[in-house]
Amino acid sequence: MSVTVNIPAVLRPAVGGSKSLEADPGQLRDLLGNLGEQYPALKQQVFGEDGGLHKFVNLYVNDEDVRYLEGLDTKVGDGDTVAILPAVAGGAL
Amino acid sequence: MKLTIPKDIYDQMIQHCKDGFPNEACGFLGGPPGSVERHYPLPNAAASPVYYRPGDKEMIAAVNDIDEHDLELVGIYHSHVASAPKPSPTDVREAHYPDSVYLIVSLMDMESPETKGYLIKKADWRDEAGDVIEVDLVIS
Repeated sequence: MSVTVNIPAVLRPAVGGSKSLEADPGQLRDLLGNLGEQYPALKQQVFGEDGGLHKFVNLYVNDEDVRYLEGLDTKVGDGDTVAILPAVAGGAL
Repeated sequence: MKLTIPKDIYDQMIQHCKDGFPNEACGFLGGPPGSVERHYPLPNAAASPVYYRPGDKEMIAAVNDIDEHDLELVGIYHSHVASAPKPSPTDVREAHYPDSVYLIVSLMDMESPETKGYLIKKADWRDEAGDVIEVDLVIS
């Protein structure tokens, strides 16, 4: 068992075209850090200059926005799914 | 560039926008590049007449379904309930899918909604500023 990380289309060039990656369980920060060592362009686009999650990148663990969990400190276990999605929003003003 | 939308899906999209009135409505369109095959009406979690943000669970389910069918997110739509179908500053700032057509359904005339489509291209997809390029919508 491991963690499945779903990659959005805009980030697939950064990971060799994969739709999803497998990662070891642990804290989300470490999980992404480990993937980032393998795929530096992924790390560069997911994180902001301050080292936190970029404001236009949303991360979900089992469909829950990690900003409403424990952010990058959220623990991810075997069989969990992490989704990375660019933010979707807008409006008339 | 153009985006072809089957008439039945186009009608469903318009109806979803009308159903969401007076708030903005939103949804995804999936298909091979340039063509719509699947419609994903999404709830507007912002529940606002001037802002939309798709519900997380429904949005993720739509993205997963698009992937499972080897399709692409060819369209992201929302309604403007009282203004023209043109990208607002918010629409441009919050557009981060450079390969998806952003469709805007104007409900200014509820009896005859007007829909336009745009690509919003940015040097880096995370940027706030971008170039707006109108896309021809073909309803077939």
